[in-house]
Amino acid sequence: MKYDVIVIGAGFSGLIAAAQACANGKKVLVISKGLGEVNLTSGCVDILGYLPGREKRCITNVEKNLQLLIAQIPVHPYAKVGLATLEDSISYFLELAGKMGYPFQGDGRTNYLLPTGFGTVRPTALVPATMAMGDIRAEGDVLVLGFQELTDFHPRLITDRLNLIRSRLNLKGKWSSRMLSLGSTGQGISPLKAAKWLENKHNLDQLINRIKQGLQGETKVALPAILGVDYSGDIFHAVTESLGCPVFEIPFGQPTVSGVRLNNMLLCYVKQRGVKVQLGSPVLKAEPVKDHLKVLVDTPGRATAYTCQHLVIATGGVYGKGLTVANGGIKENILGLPVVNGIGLNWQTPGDRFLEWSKCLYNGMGVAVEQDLRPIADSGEHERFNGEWVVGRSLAGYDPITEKSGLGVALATGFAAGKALAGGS
Amino acid sequence: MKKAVKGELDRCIKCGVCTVNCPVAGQSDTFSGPKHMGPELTRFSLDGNNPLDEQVDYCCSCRSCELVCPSGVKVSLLNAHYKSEWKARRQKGSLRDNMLGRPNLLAKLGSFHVGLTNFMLNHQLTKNTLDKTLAISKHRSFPAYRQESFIRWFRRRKPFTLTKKVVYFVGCYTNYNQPEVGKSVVRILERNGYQVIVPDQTCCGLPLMGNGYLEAARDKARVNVAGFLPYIQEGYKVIASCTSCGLTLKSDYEELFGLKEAQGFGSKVYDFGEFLLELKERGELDAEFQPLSLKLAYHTPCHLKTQGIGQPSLELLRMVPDVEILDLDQGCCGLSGSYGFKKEKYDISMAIGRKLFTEMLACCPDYGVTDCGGCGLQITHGTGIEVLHPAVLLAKAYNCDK
Repeated sequence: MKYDVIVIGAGFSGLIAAAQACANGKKVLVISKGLGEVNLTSGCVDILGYLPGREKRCITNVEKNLQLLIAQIPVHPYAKVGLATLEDSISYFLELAGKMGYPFQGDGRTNYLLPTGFGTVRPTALVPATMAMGDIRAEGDVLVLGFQELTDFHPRLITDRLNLIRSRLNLKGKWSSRMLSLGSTGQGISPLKAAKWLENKHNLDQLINRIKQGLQGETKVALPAILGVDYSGDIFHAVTESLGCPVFEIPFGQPTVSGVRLNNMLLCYVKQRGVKVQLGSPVLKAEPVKDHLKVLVDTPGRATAYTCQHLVIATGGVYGKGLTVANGGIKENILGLPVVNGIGLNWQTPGDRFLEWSKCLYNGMGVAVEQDLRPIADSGEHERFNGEWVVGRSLAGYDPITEKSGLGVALATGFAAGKALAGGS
Repeated sequence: MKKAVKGELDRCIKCGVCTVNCPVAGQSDTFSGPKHMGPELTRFSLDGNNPLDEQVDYCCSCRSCELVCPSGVKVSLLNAHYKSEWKARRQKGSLRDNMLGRPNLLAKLGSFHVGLTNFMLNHQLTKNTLDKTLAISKHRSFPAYRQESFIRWFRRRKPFTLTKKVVYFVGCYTNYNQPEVGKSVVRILERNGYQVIVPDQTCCGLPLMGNGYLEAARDKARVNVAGFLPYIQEGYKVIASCTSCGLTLKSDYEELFGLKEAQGFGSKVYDFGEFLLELKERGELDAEFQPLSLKLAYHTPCHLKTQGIGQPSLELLRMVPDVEILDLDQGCCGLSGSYGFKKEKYDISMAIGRKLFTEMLACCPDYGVTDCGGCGLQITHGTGIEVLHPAVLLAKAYNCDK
């Protein structure tokens, strides 16, 4: 089967690359072992939360710190694509999400400081409308509601820790917690079950009534992120309107409902634009054959071959299984590209530092690329990689876990590669 | 337990993406999702204490979990093993599941007097009785059996010799309920220069597997491998026009049943559309289609998705002039073979299909199109819209349907 562009990997970077690449009528296929790990994220797009080396201070001014970051790490993917491209990619994403009826807020220049399900603070740049009211710096009283059926969400934990943090910052207002019952039949249900359950109007109305009765003059209500799996936002609006006060969601659990929404929204978007998505199909390898690339896919019975002009590697890093660590080294799975640690962490570092996130070797591992995101060949012959591109977590030169820049880099690099691939014709 | 199965367990990182995308978990309060079934129950039984959890019976074997798993875990393989163990250790056998797992046997019984069988099966009295005694949902209608099965038609046909040959795996539903699909397949293949051979064969074994009778399914597989092996050794390809039979032949004979004699068998099996599309790519497909002025709505069966070959029949039908065909992309239809016929699962089955029904009705097509007989049955049941196999439409476009 012939395609103009094949994107390997259905994560954030792969889907953004595909969405862009098909802009001028190019035939695009996204092929993937499974769904990407967007499902497991908070559903927000983090651009830069911390500067490497200053992990104690979370960033609020993203714009300023991005400049510092790329000066500090010239091989950083943000530096490769340029901050102007990052900005374009942000506008692109905001427009896309708006069109799909799941609007995001934020401009990428400053961070929101949102609560996590554990009562810690996470700096993040682009947030779904359902979370936009959750900034912990906002004044006023907040009521965090939990539900007995949701055994993984503990409002007390969240409010106790946040009140501590907020008092240190001299912020006015108190966060309090309350437990209610969802009224569903199941005991110990998952966030997804709860979200599905609330998609029934009768259940939702019951819940809204229960919340109303429990309100004691709080100005804002926080709920676990269970307001519908569907990304239409209908449930969120219904709750906000009925309660008559600002409402926001706190993501928790795994998979996160808000992560699932983001994933489904993107999948739906690329399919609407004519991109074919083929899941459950691990790619065995890809190799150049004459003027095109041959992609061999592991399918039941026998391998299936696809051909394409351009290939986007969006398979993820060590945790996403785009890179394989084995005795004797680490390798990129599809093309067998050499993997480097672009941020100078030493291979020889003793193993006892493994759990120290900022020192973890694997975090910085990835494929070294040119400015245009094409892999740097071993021998230095650029011609060898005319049709291949690398985006997202497969890239070297950054540590998404320490920096909190995962989806931001995925967005900027996926966008840059996709835009170049769409071409003008 | 086999080593391969244990390997699968270790790859599962419990992320839960399978549960998000499981059609049953999305609609049922009692089914907690794929990762809680095969992977976890199997893990809990590693010490020999096999916990019995009847939830596993609610797995509909659609394999959506395998499609979405980011770690490539063969969840349904684990489920199939677990389900069969659960069934074997249960005190009470199930006459119903035993029957529903053997569509070919039922068809043979029903074929003594087709008219009477069809009348009886769809009489409300029979339905009520089956509902009460065997827990087969009274809301379902059984597909009608045909006077002449495909294989009988094929055997009485004048032999036809061509140099290029393929062997055809017919499948019970095509053989007994939709012989016109098989006839179309044969005519289309002949039109493209391939002689069709129909070796001795039985049910592919999937219905038995889905009902938890792995051992009995393995016996079916043995019969089929024996029937097809001589032709495979000749270098002929095996064509399957039913996507579920095709998937079973491709992946399960070797992987799930562990049949030594089936080694390499799956690599010779082609979905009907996949085969034609390959001809097209080699420039060998007869593309002289007559225009068909039809509006069609296409549903992709889960077991076609799992084959990882895209949507070949959609691409083929798009070659037919004047055909307007929409890709519905609304997920699982909910029937899953005999699953949706069971009384306790009927509501789940219909709830899963609701999105597809709504979309299908909104399209107002002349016909629905899908490669799986079961999906077709469910769509017609849920919408009243007639559903055709792509082969029937392609034969029409070739003007060789009579």
